[in-house]
Amino acid sequence: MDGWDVAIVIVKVLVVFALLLAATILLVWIERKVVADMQNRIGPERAGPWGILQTLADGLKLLFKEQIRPNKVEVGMYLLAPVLTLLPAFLIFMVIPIGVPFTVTLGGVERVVSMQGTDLNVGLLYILAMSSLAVYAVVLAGWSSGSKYPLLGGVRATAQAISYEAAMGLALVPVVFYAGSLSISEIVAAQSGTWGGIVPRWNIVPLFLSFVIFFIAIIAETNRAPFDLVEAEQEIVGGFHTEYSGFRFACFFLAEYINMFNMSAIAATLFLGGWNGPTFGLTGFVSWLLPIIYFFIKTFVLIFIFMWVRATLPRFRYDQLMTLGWKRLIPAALLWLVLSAVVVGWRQFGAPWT
Amino acid sequence: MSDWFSEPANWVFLVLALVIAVSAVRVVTSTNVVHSALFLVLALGATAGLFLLLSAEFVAWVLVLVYIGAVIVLFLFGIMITRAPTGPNVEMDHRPRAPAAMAAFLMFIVTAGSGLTAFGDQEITRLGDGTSTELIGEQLLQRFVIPFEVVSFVLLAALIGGITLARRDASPAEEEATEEEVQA
Amino acid sequence: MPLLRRRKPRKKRCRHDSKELEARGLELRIPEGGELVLLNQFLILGALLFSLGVYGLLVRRNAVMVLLSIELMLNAVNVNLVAFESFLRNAGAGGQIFAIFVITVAAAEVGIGLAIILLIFRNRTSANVDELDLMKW
Repeated sequence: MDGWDVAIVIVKVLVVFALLLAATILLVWIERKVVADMQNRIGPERAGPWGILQTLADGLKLLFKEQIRPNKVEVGMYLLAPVLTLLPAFLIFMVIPIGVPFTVTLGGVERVVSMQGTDLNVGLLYILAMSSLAVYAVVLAGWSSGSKYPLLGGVRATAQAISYEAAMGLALVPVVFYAGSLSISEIVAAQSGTWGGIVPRWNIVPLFLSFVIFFIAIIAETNRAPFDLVEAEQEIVGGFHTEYSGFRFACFFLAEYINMFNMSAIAATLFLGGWNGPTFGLTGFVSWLLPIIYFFIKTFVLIFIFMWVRATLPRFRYDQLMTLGWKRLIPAALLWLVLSAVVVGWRQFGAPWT
Repeated sequence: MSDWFSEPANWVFLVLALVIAVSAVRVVTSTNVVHSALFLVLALGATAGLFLLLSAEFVAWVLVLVYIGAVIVLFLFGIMITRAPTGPNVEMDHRPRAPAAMAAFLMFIVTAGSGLTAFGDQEITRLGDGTSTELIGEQLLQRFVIPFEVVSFVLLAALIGGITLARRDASPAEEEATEEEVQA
Repeated sequence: MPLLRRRKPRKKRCRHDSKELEARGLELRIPEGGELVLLNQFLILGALLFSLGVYGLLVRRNAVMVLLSIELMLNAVNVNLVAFESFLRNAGAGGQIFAIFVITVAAAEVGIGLAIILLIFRNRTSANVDELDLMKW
């Protein structure tokens, strides 16, 4: 652990930060374009080529807007919530590997730099823990606004987060069975290779139901349509961020898109093999670049599904949300968990009668 | 004592212990229920940091996931649903506080004193030597399999009890409060 | 922050042999020299947390606050358990496993406790423990 190692860590953190911000700017634009296309509109097209700078323009506008602070707010919490919403959003991406490690010689020593912020032994647990922290910002924003609709949004957020976190956690347990580790890099490594040279050895193939449950749960966790009861404009006028304006509102907006990117990246890592993909026997620089491209392709495919779902489905009613969570997803996840445990046990220890 | 301060782990400990102590005091003295719950979050977060210092990674993240991520969120839900007095002027405590403080102080003297006399200045020598998640899993299903089953039975009982409590007039709000334990 | 970070959690190893550690891709981040982390500092912190919980339990009127104080006490127990696990060389994973048990039971307790409080609140429009005197004679 010398100066160079510290420098590598700092660079990694900065890269994650920049990557997430860039991804957000791109995501907002993509979403507006995709949704516009699905609704037979054109979408933003004035700012920059194809309107790609629209997000920047919007962000700048928000920066220069007045930040209104209503009289009845709990000042400390009200100011803390926008910061708190960004924190887990940035932290969660630290354990996701976006490519294969490469070697550099710095200070006379060869160092292996993994394309991952840090590789925790209990990475999966860390992801679950961090994503469960995301609800705090919403609850605090709703509670501290001192207003009716934000409070309703906050209450809805707590109930929704607890319900769908359970399903999400249960859906991930079979992944741990198959990989035999909680470390994200080992889960990715366990998904390399193919079955019979054709079907990639991704978790989505044996664990398709897990993937479906996980994907529904992450849509609910990120409060995206059709699970956006927390911020439903038509019901509770924007929910938890009703009383926020200017840059503080921008923080919530930013966090929502970062979370969407994070969750898609996690789903791609855990179920779609992460950066795994055919390298066509190439070597050198290309073999290092290809995994990164694969990772982003998978992530953006999932993000496209996010947007597709948003453009297609109407919002759930509150009781439908609870029914889906508690009576459909969790029992299904539990059954699937038992089933995959039996399969893994059978494979490892043989049939019970032998 | 200078040796004690020369150990960097102790500085980490001091900072975390200070955070824990101050926020624990605020948990029991704050006049606002939501603030109390949030200070408890701070205390638990610092405790998770302490566990990381003791190389207990798995427990640390389980603490964050279950306690901070679910239990306290459930508390906040309960606070908002019961419209618990969140204004600062409401009488939150019983009037005579001195007996309670006395009892707590005696408790502290007894527990801390027994620790001091029993363990003196013994050191934790395997601070960096973490327990692997694999070992925890193995031990959980071998040596501690009976407590494990008992705990799962407790969870089942809690689940059934919760549903029974909520059944009386089934509202979605109570169903959540009680069905939460599935997740643990 | 874990003082030792390892890439592969598979093998047992001796923590003083830094060369062997490096060969396995591990890093030794503890400065060489004696450690002076006492067991007692954790025990005293646990005792402090526990007695603060006792104080809150006795003094609070609102039932939700009482439950919060109980959480403090359970957390004190967790601190002690993990510290002892770190202290004893042959503990297996006992301390951590029991800490996990405590966390699990706490989750169950909060679920049931809050359900009861919600019911009481519904019936009596108050969650103050000293107003629940129907059973008193």
